[in-house]
Amino acid sequence: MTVLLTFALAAAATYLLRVWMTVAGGRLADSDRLAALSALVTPAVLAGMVASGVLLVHGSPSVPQVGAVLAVAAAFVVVRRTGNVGIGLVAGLLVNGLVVLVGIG
Amino acid sequence: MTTLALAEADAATPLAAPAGAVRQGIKDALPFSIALIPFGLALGTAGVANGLSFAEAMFGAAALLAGAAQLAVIESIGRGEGIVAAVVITVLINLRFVYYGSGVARWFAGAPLPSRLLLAFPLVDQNFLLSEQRFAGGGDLRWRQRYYVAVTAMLAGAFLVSQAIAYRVGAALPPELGLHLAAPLVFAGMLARSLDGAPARGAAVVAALGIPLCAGWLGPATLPVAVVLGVGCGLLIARRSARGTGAQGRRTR
Repeated sequence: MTVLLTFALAAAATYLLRVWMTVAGGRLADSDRLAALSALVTPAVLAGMVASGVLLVHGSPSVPQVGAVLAVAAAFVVVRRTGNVGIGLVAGLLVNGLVVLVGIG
Repeated sequence: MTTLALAEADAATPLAAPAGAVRQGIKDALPFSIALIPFGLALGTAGVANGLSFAEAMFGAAALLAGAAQLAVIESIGRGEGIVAAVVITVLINLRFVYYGSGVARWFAGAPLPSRLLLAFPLVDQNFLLSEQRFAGGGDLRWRQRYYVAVTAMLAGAFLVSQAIAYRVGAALPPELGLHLAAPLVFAGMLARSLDGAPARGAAVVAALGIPLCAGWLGPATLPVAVVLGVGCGLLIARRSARGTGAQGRRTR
């Protein structure tokens, strides 16, 4: 029940963001500040999510696994070169698989 | 998922609005729909890894219709961080939708308010990008609505079906495949596409460093605090850069 409520509230918040311009009459449409802020919030949130996924275990800092770090680095580099997140995902999983296979993960 | 900067850059090239709105929408959305499949698979497996039931995972997917935020909420649930933390993370990730919402306000300005409110519900990076390009080339209100709905149906179909399949298959896959890493890998890929300029890089580095530094004592507030620190650093870098450019301009004159 808590999971459904969490998703419902997150969806409601997201919907409010989507309709903000429609309700507010587009007053913020040409806001340079909003565009500049959004351009910084997105990488900050994503970097935070990557760090959380690699450096935290159950919310506490821990020594990261070699395979996870190399996989994330591979995904980052591949997407930087190709621009395709799907290819980056596959590359990262392959690198992690190789590390596990070699036995250093 | 694309970033605001990428969307702005691509949206700058208007396309003509030919006849056959639905057919054109399907044709335009096809490559984007295919590109969504790996992301959907990652989301489905993340749902399995974090102990969500099939109904919970699919409800989250359909209600949010926003992959990055959905992944963040799933991870937050998995870490047991609570509802407030999940909603705050969602708002931070989806802040760009306020900007995208200006598209719906402009494209469907002649439509009744209930229609506009309904059309805003499935607004995501991809249909914003495609519509912004197509509608710059013309098309009446009816044509635009049909095109937008066709594009959205294609995207949502690929997104939801791939998640449903991944959820069912993911449970049977061995952990050695490393699918638990799907979330950080997708986020790393999205991060690689969003790093335009020194302020964005500074924001990302500081936010990433803030996670292990704050995690021990801030608990569920770790990510929001790290993001605020990162954005603050990015704003400082942008301000210094602007000052430096201004001083250089004065010296040149």
